[in-house]
Amino acid sequence: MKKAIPLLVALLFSACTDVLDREPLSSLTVGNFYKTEGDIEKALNGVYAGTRDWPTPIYIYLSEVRSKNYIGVFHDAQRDWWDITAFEVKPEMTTLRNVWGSLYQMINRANTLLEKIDGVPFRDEQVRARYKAEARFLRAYAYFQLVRLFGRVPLVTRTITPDEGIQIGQSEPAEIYEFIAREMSEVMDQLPPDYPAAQKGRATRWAVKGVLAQVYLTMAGYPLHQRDKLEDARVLLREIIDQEGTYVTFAPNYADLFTHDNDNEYALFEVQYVSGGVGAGGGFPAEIVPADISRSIAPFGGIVSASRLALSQDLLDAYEPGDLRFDVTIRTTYPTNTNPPGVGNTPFIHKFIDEGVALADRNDWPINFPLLRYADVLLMYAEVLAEQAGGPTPEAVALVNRIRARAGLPAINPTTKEEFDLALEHERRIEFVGEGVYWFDLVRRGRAVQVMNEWFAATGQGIQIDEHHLVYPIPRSEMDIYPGLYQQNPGY
Amino acid sequence: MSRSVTVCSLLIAAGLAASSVRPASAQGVGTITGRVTDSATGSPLAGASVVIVGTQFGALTDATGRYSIPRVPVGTYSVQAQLIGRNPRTVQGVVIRDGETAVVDFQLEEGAIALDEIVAVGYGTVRRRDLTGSVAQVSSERLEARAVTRIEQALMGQMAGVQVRQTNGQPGAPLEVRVRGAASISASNQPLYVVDGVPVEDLSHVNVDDIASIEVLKDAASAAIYGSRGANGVVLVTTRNGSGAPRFQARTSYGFQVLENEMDLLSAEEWIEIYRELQDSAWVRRGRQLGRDYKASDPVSFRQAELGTQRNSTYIPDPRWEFGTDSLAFIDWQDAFYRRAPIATYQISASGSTDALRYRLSASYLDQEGIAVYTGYDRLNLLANFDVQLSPRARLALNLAPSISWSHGGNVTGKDQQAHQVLAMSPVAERDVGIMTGIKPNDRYYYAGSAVSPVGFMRYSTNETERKQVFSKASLYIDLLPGLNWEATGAWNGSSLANRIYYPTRVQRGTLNIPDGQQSDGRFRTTVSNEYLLQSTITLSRSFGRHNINALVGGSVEYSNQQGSYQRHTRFSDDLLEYLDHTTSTVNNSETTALDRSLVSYLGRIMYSFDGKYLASVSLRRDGSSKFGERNRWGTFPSFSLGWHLSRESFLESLDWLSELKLRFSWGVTGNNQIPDYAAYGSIDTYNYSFGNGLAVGYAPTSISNPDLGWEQTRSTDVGLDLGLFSSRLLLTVDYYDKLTEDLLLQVPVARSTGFSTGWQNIGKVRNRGIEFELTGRPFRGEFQWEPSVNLAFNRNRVVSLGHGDAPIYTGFDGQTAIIKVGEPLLAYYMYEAIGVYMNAEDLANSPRMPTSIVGDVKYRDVNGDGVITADDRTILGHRDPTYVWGFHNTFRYRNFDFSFLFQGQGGNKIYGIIGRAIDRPGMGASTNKLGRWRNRWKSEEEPGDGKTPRIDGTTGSLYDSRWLYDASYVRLRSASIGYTLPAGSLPGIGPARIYLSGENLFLHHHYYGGYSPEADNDVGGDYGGYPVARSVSIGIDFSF
Repeated sequence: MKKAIPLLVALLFSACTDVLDREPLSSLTVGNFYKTEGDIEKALNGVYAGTRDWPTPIYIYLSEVRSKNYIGVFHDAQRDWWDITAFEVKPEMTTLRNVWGSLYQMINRANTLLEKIDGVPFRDEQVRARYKAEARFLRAYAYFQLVRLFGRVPLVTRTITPDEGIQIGQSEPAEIYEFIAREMSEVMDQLPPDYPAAQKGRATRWAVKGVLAQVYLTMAGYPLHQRDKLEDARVLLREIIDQEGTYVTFAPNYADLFTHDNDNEYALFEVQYVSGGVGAGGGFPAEIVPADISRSIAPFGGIVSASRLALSQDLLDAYEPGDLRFDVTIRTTYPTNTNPPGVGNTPFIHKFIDEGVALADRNDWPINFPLLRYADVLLMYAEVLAEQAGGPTPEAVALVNRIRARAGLPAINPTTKEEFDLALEHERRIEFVGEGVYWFDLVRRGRAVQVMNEWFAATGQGIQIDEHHLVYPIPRSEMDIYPGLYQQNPGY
Repeated sequence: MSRSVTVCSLLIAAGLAASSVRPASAQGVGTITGRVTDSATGSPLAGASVVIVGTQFGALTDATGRYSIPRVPVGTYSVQAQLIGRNPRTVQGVVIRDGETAVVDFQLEEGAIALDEIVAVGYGTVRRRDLTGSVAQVSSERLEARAVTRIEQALMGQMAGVQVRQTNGQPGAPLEVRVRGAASISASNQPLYVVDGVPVEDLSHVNVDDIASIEVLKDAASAAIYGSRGANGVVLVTTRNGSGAPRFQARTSYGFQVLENEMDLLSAEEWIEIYRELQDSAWVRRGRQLGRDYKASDPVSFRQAELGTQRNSTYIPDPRWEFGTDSLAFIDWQDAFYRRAPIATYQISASGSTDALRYRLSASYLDQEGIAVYTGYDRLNLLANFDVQLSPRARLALNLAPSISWSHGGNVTGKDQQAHQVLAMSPVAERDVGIMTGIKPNDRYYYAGSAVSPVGFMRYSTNETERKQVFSKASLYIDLLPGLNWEATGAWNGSSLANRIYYPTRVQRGTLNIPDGQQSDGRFRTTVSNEYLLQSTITLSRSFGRHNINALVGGSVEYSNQQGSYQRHTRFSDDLLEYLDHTTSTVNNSETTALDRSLVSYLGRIMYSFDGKYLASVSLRRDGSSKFGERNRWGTFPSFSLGWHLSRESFLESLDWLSELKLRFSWGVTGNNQIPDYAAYGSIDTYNYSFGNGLAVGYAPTSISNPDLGWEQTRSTDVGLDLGLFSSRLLLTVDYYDKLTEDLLLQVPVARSTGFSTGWQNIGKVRNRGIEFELTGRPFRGEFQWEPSVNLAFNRNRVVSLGHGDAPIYTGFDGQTAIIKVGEPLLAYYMYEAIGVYMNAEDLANSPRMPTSIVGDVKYRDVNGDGVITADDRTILGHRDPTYVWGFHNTFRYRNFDFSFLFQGQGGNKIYGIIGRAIDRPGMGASTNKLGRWRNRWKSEEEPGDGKTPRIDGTTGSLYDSRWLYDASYVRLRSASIGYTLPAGSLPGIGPARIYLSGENLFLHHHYYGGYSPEADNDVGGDYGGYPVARSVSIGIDFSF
């Protein structure tokens, strides 16, 4: 009897330890996922899904709204867009924290995948290589967003614990750009030139080369001014242009670019959306539509209160007479959602609106958001040629005129570098309205402070900006994580 | 329940039983009978309980005061009689001989404050006299006089160190209970609720009228027997059972509720004035953009001509503003939304006992309309308690408490919900539309925000929740030997919830021209939960001369699981049916989920007393919980306590006025495991994408795994004193405690460079210290009776250390309103301190400011004195948890009248009005309404306002500052009641009946301008607009027959 008691006790403990092993029942865990090739593919899709967070905050608010394409007309409701357009941004602004968080979330997904993939059996090693290349490209692309928005950011290239998180400080922009360029150039040729129809939207080698060219062009301008990168950009852009007719297509009409039917047709890389109420639609088209617009145009209306944030008169005036892009891009009046319908007169960007499309909710728009259009490749190539030659070359001017011709505009013939630069700046602004290009152009070309201040003065807005406004502050949440871990950007 | 759990439970039960069961020797039996009477009048006392100490034997007296305990094994016993409100009596040395009857009579005297009351202490009871820990008790008498709908309400202000806050006035919503301050930040601070010995998640299923007593185990030595869940205190609820002759009782009450406290908002005229101001400045700004000389004084006609349109909300005022209510409806939304709402309660019960059976059956129904329109709550509670004496040695107790509740009209509490909309809604609407503005077929008022009428929203949307719960428990008690008892308990607590929501197209914003159904949103959620408990304990109760020992060993296994399903459909074909059909709508969500958890425990306790003077108790519990990381699942929780009855020492016994003096000391370790299930795992969630315009399933990590995640442990020490004076007419209890909580379970913000924003970790130490006083008296005991009682508790907490070199943690609302910092209170508010407004350009130029500051902005204090305002100027400004909490309860009785009231309050803390901020920050513009103080805003250098309210378009709207931080101290007349008792026999066939008038929340004195109630800490970091608290008045009647 005396011997039985310890035995019984031991039995009790062993039985009851099992009872305490309760793994999550209805969700996967990091421990039990990442086991098969299919798991890795789904994890890679999860990395791509991170780009769905880009268009609204990064390309529209932190870029389009920051530039003089937009003006806040009525300070009604405390919204981040007001602080952005009025250059009153503080580190506390929620958009900053969200963008920072979502980019690092995407980086962590890529890092996790890259650490798990080698432990998983693949039938085809080329698929493994391709998945790795896609993940590395997306991770580098996320860093490109971070570095141009925030400047000095922590460079995290593996999964880290919270304790490590407060030990990894910021890296200099040069180091981050170098990482981006190295990663993209290493992986670009491991990616296929094209994908089957059902896989369209994955990064092709042309997507990577185009984005890398954009990175090089940025490295050649503010803040690094590494002029030798122009040649690196030129080589890549030339290579892409050589694919015209095979892997890349120049859209015959500007209007063709902005319909759901032409998703993945003309751009090198797009954020993918589908509607149907499955949480894979886009929210950005409605984001820039007046709230009081007729539901026959936007079924759930817009987000921005009617006429509170408008396209600036400066932008409307910038269009040359006869520019076919105006009617595709902009509406200055619209029927309102009243009974009977009235007329709203807040100018807004209409080009992403597929009128009459059926949506499950406001964030269910099907149209893709272009991250890199072929026109951008052509105009970047023109820019590189002119920069390298110190003035407009016939080839560069011809590229600009090709874009103008599609817009129904006559050819121009700038003779000096200054004339060409201004013409190109204008052409890029108009061609890419609503695509988040203009502000980043002004910044990398060192033009932002001058262009914005001239406009502020001319319109009596009483705002003056300086170099510190070219990057955003490090979010307050991150500054507060650990004292001394990060340095705030100057001026904030 | 999974097989391993079953096996494990059975092993524990069997193991404990096997090690203790011994064959009972054959012996003779006898009977004890007698009569219990009042010591003064000699009249019989019915319902008194007579027990044989240390056994399961007992009986209740009948209407003639007689009792009989049959089949008592031969031996010598102590027999005790007790009755609530009387001092118990014990007769020792009662000898039972085979086949004989022993007669034992008792005379009970009316008790002052019963020191011999039986107090539940977890897995057992003790006499209050023998307590060594700190246990507070509320008896049913205190609960009966009031018309309360939840147990927690009845606890408010009753016990020192037990703070109850009504953070949300939604009918049926639970209240927040805190015992001795809060030690955790991310883990819950809710105490463990134990009903009739079974831990439960909440108390909704228990009807107040069915409660015999509530005990709160406050110190660690008392709570440590509940180990890993004891750190926040333990609330033990014991339900009633029957006694004596069959008795039927009926109670009913009926009353009204109204909004307790109305907020100060701008009137329609004041709202219009702000709108005009903003339009004028937008107009001038437009002129500058276009290079035209627009002036604020430009008339409507000129603006219309310039814009080429009749209406434009940005630039053109509504011409009808000139004519006020002749052409527009001016609406006070608080008046429109809150109403006088009826509340009714009904209860019947039957109870009684025979030799072998005690029973109580009850049914109660609550029918409560909410003060917010179209909200309400109904609840049915049933209870069946049976106690069956199977044999002289075996007793079986069964508790069954099924309950069901229905609530309708959610959508009131929280951000952007209707209580928020009521405050933010513009006070102007079209005259012929009025309070149904924005609800199809009505357009919204052109100048208002896009929100639809909150009254219309409630009217046309559906949000119904049905909760069912079946609490069931069976316990078997076996006397193995005299003084040695075995108890085995099995309990199952099943519950389910079904929530049906339908928001038709007409309550969605901007749907004027949208066909019905197209933007409707229907949801259905169900959860089914089960909690199982198997528990076995052996109790030894022995006296050897002057030594008394009570020892307990036991074990338990708990297993809970939950399954849920959720469907959400949109794009309905019409709004004819509110149910989901995938052929007529689009499926947005359809998912099923499941959770489970388990807890395995071993426990033991020895209580010892010598000569009734010296008391000691030692306990130990070991808990394993599935919630923690695999490396840290088990925790051990020891305790000990000592007590000394000084008043029984010979040198004090001669003092007549001193009836009781006891010193207590206790020490113990308790834990907290109230974190979400699976928090230790890094989980993977769905993040879908699409390729080739087809859906591509994607997965990604959403939380950090932490295999080291473990217990939060609290070590606490308690020193207490119980003092009774003048034959216990005055009783004072004082306790001092010191609690040190280590390895805090914190969901801390982590660097987002990890890919996550928060993670669960065990970090840091927090110390709570406090002192509690409870003074109860019965100065008058004759025809006029007065029973005052006062309680007061001070608590002070400090963060002692944190991980990572004590780096502070920023937390609170949006992570920006509070700080956890060494040396400071646990949740210290941390923000910019608003000290005024930049009154003019000179003030702005000469004051510290931000780069973006403009004249008319809020001015902040330059805390570090560097001449500029930066994030470094944020500073600590008070704390969330009260420094002191008090209650003052009085009962007066004169002949058949009774009158009682309870004042209660808190002080020393602050509340952050997030709802106030949401409708009160600069930059909120025109279309929504604001707090009334905006009438004193800065308008210009010439009209600078009150110097505290900034300009309406100021730049600090994204910051968190002290303009929304309010003193949370208050005094409330929590309840008052007056009653008259009709003596038995005044009405034919009916026993005593009491008629009463009672009120709740009758008076409130406070300083909280930015919200409804200073207790409404209902969101992370503050008040985000909970359902406001109601003031209510009811009349009721209780009678028995």
